[in-house]
Amino acid sequence: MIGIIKVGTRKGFRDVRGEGIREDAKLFNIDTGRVDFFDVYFIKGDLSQEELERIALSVVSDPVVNTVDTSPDFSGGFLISYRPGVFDSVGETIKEITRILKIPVENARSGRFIKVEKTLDDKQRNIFLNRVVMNPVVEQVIDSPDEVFIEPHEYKFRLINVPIINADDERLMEISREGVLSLNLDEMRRIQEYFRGIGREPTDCELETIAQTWSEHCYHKTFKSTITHNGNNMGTLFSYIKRATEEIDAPWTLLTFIDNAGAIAFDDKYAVTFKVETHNHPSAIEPYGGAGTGIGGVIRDTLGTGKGAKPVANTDVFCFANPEMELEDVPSGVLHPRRIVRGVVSGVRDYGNRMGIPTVNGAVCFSDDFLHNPLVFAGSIGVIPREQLKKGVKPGYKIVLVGGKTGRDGIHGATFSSMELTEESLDVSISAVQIGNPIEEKKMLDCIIKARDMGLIQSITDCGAGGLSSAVGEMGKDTGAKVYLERVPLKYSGLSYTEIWISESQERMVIAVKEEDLERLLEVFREEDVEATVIGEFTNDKKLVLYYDGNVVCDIDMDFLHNGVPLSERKITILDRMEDIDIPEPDNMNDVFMGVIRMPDVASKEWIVRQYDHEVQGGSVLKPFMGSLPSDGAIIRPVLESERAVVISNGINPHYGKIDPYRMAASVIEEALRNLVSCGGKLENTAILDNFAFGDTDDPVILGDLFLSVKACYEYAKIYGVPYISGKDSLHNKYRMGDGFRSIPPTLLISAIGVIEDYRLGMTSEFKTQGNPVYLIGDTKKELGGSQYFLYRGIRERGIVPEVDKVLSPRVLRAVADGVRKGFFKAVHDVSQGGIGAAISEMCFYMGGEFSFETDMRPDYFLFSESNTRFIVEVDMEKENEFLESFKGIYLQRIGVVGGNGRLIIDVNGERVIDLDIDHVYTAFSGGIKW
Amino acid sequence: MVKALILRGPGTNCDVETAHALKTAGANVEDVYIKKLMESPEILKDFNIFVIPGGFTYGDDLGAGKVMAIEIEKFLFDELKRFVDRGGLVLGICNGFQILVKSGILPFLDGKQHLTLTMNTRGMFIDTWIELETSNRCVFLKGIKNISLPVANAEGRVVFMDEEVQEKVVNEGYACLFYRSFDPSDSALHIAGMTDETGRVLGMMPHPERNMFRHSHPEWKRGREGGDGLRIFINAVEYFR
Repeated sequence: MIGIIKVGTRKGFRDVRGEGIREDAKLFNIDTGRVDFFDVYFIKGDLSQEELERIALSVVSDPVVNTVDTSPDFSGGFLISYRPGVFDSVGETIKEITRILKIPVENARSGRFIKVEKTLDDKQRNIFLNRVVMNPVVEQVIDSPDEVFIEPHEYKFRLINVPIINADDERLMEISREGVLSLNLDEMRRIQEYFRGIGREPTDCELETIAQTWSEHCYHKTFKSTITHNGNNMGTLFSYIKRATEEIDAPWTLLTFIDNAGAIAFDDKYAVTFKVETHNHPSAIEPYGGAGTGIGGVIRDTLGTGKGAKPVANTDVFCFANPEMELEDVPSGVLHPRRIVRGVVSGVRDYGNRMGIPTVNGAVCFSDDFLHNPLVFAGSIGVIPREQLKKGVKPGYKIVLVGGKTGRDGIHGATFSSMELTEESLDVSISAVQIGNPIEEKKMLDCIIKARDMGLIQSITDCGAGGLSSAVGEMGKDTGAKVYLERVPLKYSGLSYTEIWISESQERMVIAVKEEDLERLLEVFREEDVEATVIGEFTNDKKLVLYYDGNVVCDIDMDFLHNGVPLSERKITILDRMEDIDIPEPDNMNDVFMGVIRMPDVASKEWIVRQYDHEVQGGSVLKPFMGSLPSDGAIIRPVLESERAVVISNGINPHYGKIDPYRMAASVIEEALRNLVSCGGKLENTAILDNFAFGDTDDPVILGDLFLSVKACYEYAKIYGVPYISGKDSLHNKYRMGDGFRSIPPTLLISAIGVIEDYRLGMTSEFKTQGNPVYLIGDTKKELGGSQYFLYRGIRERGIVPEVDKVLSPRVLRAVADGVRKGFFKAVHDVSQGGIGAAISEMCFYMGGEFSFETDMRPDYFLFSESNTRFIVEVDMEKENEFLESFKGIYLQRIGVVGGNGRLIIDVNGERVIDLDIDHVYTAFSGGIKW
Repeated sequence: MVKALILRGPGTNCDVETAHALKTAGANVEDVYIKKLMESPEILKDFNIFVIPGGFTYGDDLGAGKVMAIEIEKFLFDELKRFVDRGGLVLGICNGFQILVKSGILPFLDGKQHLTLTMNTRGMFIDTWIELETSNRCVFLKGIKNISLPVANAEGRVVFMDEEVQEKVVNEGYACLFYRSFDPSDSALHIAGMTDETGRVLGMMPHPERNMFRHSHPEWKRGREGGDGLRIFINAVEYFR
């Protein structure tokens, strides 16, 4: 039987979730009247009414705040459940606790009942359900509880061969499309040739394995292809990035581009690792699950670095469309930006917080270019003893799969994320979206670190995109591997051998273990109820062989799999789009000033930051907000016993990318390093990570943009002496609508990580001591292309994008880092989006201030130009002369002294241009974003 | 040597820094997984201090701390009661406090739930620093009048089953930690923490283990240094000296 329990809110208590839904519906102009929210639990099993009551009263409800009903009425509202097969952590928890309580529950699922006071018409009902209350990708409205349980069916083995040996080109492409393989004709021909050579047709499993390994997502074909420009060979994109690191040749980089994350030395004993991933497509379709699994996935990259690094911090960077967009401006098949923003933020929050990993640094950019294709970057920082960095497999090592069970989740995720999004994406890609279970991952994490410290792990990697196929295929590429697929623990029966092999179920990792260590390893996982199963072993025949119940379902050469992909030459076109422009001078500078402060890129992100646990693990030194002020970066002590610290920062600016991708790349590299230096970091032990998110790189112009950014990446890393240790590209971020395409603007995220010798060097940006002199460091030019000021004035794609001076920039950044170490500064803030205006206001929030600038530029251009290589500093008055001596040859302007009476006053060339109550400025800054 | 047991379960996540705080305070620390403790509750006999650290046990799936509270109530309650009667100290932080309340250890150590910690009225998770004041009967809070600590939770709002309980808890000094200026949860009478009749049990929403260092406080660069949270752990260890 299926018992149903409905849990509501007792009279006298606020139904926060019901009220939230009512408020959200209002945003869509739907008046629901009162909304009541109920949790609903479906309990399957042979249990008595008394036992059901027991579950209702003592397991799923709280006696103080809840009402409970075991023969519920579902009239006047909507009963919603996860679709069958979608992971439901609450249901799993009920199964677990009732097992302990010895109540015979066979299966349990959760749902919710939304009772709505007013009657909605069909159109309202549709919007209410699909845009306000639930996500149809993973949830459904049901009439009967029978619809919540998946009926397991037995899987009957049948080997599927795909005839390709004699197929013509047209048929080859049909096979690629029908199988969602995302393979192009050259690749299909290459596969055909291989199977002709071995004289048989491939199995479906073999084709899937090749498609996954060769996917853009896994193989990065664009970055590995040779680029030509006007007939000249420009080399591969990847070679530029790699060459920068090789030529800088920093002895403290410990892992560069060879493992799941990069690593630098922390001290003699430990290394810190850093990896940043994109998770765009899943987040466009199911923001909550997509962002959560994005974080979950990058955390597994950390766990899969060396013999297992321990995650100590997360970062997240987003690009969204304007959340205040009118409903009718949002095309069909696209989620409303507000929905995406909220979903992504709560997805990151719930995954990161539950894992107990502080989310310490991030950024958010807003541009309507991201309406169809939001960008979600998730980063993970880890710590690992240096002697645990080296990993490797040998023939005879056992392959152990640990963590969650395998279901149909995310099948074709790797190939899906290499395709453009279409209007049908919401429908066809349901299975490509996964729902994460952070507690499963946390349990797995604890066991992995324990097993690592016991010396039981020889190698480890995560099951990310491509699932087991990618994990085992990658680990065994130099040896060979065989896997018995029927041994893989399943969430439900009915999966075919191929589904098991390519499933992207979350929270799974693969460990290589010596036979003599096997029993002890399994025991570590057993003690904490985490699945660990031997599924095969590494061999010495350099083949990938898969079995299902004794049948061979895949038998291909590792060499073909990993080196067989045909790479084509790719032509690029270089466009210069930059043109200068002038706009009318504003009448009221105070109004303009407040407008720029309110721009969503500039305004406070505190509403996001405070939803993240940024202090768990106890080592935060520089938090995202120090009091009411945002920090330029984050500092943590990842090893509580050491006074050394890690500094983390980032730079991103898609607005510049639209106009000049070369200057964009240079600017975001400098921005990341400027932020790092402002916090107390220094260039000499700092490494960076690149994450390229570009549109359709089959378009030579977009590929040309990418080439320019990559070229800037090489040149600027070199001038700072800051190596890349890891990187990732997410291409084909385009969306097909009608007959047209939309690509996202060229976007590069640079994440920086450095080690600070003593946490006490950490700097904050608020003015501190009355009377200390304040200096502007660095020259201001008319560089407003893509600036927040131009965007505020409605100028989107014109103007001069800020340049980075290759000689001056490293000199200034080094001088500032040096100045921090010599104790010159009481406050340091870099000047970035929103220019001097935004930077000085933030520094003044506690007491206001009065400053006077000299310039030959127009006041509005001067205050809001986003020229690079600028800082505002509070100098310790005792050390002013020493500071001036040390900064000789660098452009400086003394703009006043610390102190104020609650007003922000700015004079330019002796004229008063800004006179505002600092509290009003703060209100504009902090009240800007509240979705 | 003062020995502290840190209870871990699926989703516990503040165990490492809590252990660090206890070690800094001079205790010998061991972490024990809930499954093992349910199998052999007598392990508790070897310890002086029992700590349930923060986290999201079982994902807080059926309410914060609910599932582990059921486990404790069913398998460990009698042993824990004997532990307190013998003079042992019990500390529950954040999720640990939620568990102590829902398993009927706080406030009356009678196995019955008299209040709850539920969703903050603002309806979402918040990580922020707050000022607290104490009323001083609890061993852990000896000599502490005011303290600044961070909270990080979505379900920290104290709500009593009825007025009778509320009156008893307030009048007889069970409520021992209060939000002073800003109450992030909108808690009944601004209660942030609670002790038992003996003063040897403490449940609190704020995280003392996140204020162990000079640099813990968000205003440490403006002259307000951190480290006060450590005093709670030192008090616990000193109690046995």
